[in-house]
Amino acid sequence: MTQERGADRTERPGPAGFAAFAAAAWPRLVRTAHLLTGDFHEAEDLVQTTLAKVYSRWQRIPHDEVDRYVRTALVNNNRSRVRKKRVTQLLLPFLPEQAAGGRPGPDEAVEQRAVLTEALSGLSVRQRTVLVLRFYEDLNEQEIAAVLNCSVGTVKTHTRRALAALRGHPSFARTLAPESST
Amino acid sequence: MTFEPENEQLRAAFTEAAGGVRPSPVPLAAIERRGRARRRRKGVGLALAGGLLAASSAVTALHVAGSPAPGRPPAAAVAVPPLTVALGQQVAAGYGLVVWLTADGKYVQVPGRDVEFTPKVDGAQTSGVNLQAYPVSHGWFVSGVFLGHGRAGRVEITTVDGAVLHTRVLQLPGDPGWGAFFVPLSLPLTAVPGTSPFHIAVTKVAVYDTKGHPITTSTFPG
Repeated sequence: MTQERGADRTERPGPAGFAAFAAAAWPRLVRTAHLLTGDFHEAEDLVQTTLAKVYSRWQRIPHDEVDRYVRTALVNNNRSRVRKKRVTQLLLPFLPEQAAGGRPGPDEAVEQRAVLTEALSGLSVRQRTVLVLRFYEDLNEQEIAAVLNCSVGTVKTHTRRALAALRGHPSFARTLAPESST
Repeated sequence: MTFEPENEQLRAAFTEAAGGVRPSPVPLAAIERRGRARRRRKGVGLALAGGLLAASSAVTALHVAGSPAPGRPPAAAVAVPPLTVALGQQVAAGYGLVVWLTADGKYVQVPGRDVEFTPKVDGAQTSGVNLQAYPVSHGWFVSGVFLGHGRAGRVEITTVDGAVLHTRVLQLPGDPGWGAFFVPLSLPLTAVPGTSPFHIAVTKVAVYDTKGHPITTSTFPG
């Protein structure tokens, strides 16, 4: 995943530079978005929305800040997505998407992935985001704080609570080392 | 706090889960089409100054410009102290309208309509102003969200005829990095017929901190 970062961005600026960046970044962003959303199609929608916004500002984003900009935009757009969904849930007697269940993406039957997805679904958006940025995007606490526009202490708190929830998850807890409680 | 073995197990689990995702080919044409449409919308002044964008579907077809309604005198500039509100605290805006803030953004309840939500951020923006306008029985209810650090002391809207309107400012405690404002319906700010779709007679929105220093400013094409 890390090696995909910043790939093929030497052609910036210009539409060709964006095309190369989008092609290189798309797989990584979709995978990150899938961990954030838990749904293959919502993940691709989220990344498409994010990249459309990036495209509209492409000429103004500093070359060395594209990755940080895109990651921050992805996280913020996901939070907006969840908020809108929450409002929709308040306005509708039921949510058709949820009633029907999410459409599974490729390989969604892989047990490890299903267990993790289920465990992550019980976390708040911020807790889930912190874990994805830390254990998939491999960011440190300072970098996560910058993405979320919060303090390092807040990141630590979200991490601690998220991990406690995962440890308490009946299926996912078996994935973790039994001796590693706090 | 975690132990290193647990960190490695978590990294492995996340990597394994992500690795099972097989993304579709990048829909580059659709992305660029949406990006160009977004750029055009911004270009006509829906949301300016730093690019903080409106999210309300009610106002996506609205832009800011034009001339004021005929016969409307310039408003007297009357400053109203900013209101520090708690999360979810509802503020009456007159004629049954209610505005409130959460940690995520601004909500407006217009009688007879769904709750309108505007997020405090769009993408990775760090400063800017946006405007939303909703048709109500007494004209247009204009509100907005600003992004930028500092306690807002006032938010001024300048109309095309030079009148400066002081809005009602709402902000959460501390320095949340954003806030909201609305134009009281008693003030002479209206939408007038113009070229499609509508014009609102605003040329500038300026947000100042409590010491009078600008936090962020937006100017709109006339």
